[in-house]
Amino acid sequence: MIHSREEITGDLRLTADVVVVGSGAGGATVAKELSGAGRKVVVLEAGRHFTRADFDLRMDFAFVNMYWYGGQVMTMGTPMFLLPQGKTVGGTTTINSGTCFRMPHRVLKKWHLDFGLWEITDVEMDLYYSAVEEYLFVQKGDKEVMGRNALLFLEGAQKLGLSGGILSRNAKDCEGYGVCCFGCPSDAKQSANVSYIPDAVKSGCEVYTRCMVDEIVVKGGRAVGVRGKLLDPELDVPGPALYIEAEVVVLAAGALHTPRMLLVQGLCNSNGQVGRNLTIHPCNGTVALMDERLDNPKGIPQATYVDEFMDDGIMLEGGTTPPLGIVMGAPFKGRRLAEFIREYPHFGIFGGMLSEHCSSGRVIPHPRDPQRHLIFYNLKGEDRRKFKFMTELMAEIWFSLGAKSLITPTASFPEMRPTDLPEFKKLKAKASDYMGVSAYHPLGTCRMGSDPEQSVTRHTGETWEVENLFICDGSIVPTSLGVNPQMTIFALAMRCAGFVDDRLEELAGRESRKPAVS
Amino acid sequence: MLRIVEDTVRSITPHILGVGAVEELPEADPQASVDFMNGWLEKGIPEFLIVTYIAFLALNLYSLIKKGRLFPRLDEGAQAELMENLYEAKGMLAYQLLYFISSPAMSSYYSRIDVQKLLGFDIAALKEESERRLVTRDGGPLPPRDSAAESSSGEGER
Repeated sequence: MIHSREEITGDLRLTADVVVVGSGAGGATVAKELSGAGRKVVVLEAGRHFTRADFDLRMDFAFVNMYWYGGQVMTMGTPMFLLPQGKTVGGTTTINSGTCFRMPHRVLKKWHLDFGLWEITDVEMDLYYSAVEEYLFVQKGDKEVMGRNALLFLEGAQKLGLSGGILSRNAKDCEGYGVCCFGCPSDAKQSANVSYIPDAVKSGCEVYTRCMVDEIVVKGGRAVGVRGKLLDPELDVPGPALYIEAEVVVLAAGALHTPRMLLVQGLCNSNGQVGRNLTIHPCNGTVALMDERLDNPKGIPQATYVDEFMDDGIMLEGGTTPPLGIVMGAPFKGRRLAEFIREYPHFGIFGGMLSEHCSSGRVIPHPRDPQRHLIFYNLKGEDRRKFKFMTELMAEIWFSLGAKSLITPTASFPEMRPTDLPEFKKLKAKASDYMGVSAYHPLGTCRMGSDPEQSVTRHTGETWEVENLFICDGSIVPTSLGVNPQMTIFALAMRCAGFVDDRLEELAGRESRKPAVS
Repeated sequence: MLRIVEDTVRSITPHILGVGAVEELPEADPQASVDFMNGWLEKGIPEFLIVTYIAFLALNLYSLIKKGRLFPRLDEGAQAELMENLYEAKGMLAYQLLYFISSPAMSSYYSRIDVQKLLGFDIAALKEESERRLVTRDGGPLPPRDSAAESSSGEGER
């Protein structure tokens, strides 16, 4: 059952085999696998539970209700990136674009060579990916519904000889309502809130919403439960206490909150690795003014991609947004803004993602509020050049398709006409020159590895320092994946669930071997 | 919300949106900007609230220096002139200031169903359509699977 906050009037005290903190790609998968195996699972989610009936296609409703801090999560550094993260049942899967990629083989090779993760094999991962893909109906987007914008951009790229294609997505019978990031109104997107969580609940899993975990309870070097507070239904004001006693604790609060929780308690950090090694995918977008109507955002917001420079860490992926998303990043105000947005039906919209990079960041708890985090991230070295190159590449494609002008995220060159491109290319790439940029896919802040000095968890997801404490979310992914990570998080969580189940077996065996006390 | 911030949000809204210049777009609602800002800041982080307040106070300071009065007390022409100066200003500081002071007006206005419809995004109609279409995990035959594994390997087509 999914319990709303309103149902619970007093303190919440429960006992379970496993308590899972977080209901996103990692937590939901673990919950479904373990409850399906007959384990008693309790899931704690900080956000509220929304269904398709609640999803009204409004960006403002989604940001205020389903994103952490009303969508105001920013990195500190140059430039500052908006790093939106889901805070609702299903986590970020509920508000992402649904893009599905398997991790490229070369990335797993790097995990083997650099992190000694030889136990994770291609063959094994392929099996997990296949299972997840089948379960989530992963397939290429339907050209009939994806909208003109996506296909036009792909045509332009292919005309220039650039490699690209149609993205695979976890969507079934998608009609292209254009609002994946604000909650799918038809339940076509198979985010965790409509797939893993309902199936976990069918198997007896109990999901509690509006729960904020303050403490992982550790006794004798073993995790034995969590303590925290129930939040007010609407505002993040703490209310009654919660205490869940469990054989195994699974942290799946994502790559920002999982390390925060550990750092607040000083757990698993004797090597100083918790919260470090943060990778994100810095993104920028372009808005092109076309002659023809493209009628965004109706269609699939992220439907096609250009991967010509994937090995250099650059992916272009669609990213249409409603008018509000455009005006927020537009370099105009006043009359010019109104004249600009009037042309919205003629806008071509596409995004670029720095998918592999040399920059990395760090997450720490907020010094005055341990329930929040600070994220430090600077765009360094070659990444600055690549970030600018993404805009150049998108400009080449849009102008080849006849775009009259282009809005860029570059403060010193916010608007570009076809004849301006050579001048734009001459600009020095400066991190401080970007505005209104966002980033996605935080990973790596509790990375797994074979060396306890360099990693936080084993390949199983169990932490080196606290027995029965597992981490099953993006924070264990040790490197940037070069692609959108949700499939890898689902697959790794499925793998981790097996090890949690083994541990529960082991604990049951230990228990049964204990001499009876008279 | 501080009274001066609230008054500034109200008086800045028509200038930021500039919708009077475009016939098709409906009039701005300054009070809606104030209401939106209250709701949004309540859900957000305290730093965002502080920075937003600072931005509005900075605008008033700029107004005092340039025109000798707080922004809401200027006549419309003087307000417009001041805002034009800000739009012309270069650099990240001006950009950041404009970002924070314009967010409430833009967010509330461009979230409106009527405004979005005028721009071609009819969310009411789409919502209605989506309600007629129940997608269930076990409902009916699956659409054909066109090699998801192959397409998700990251290898594109040329």
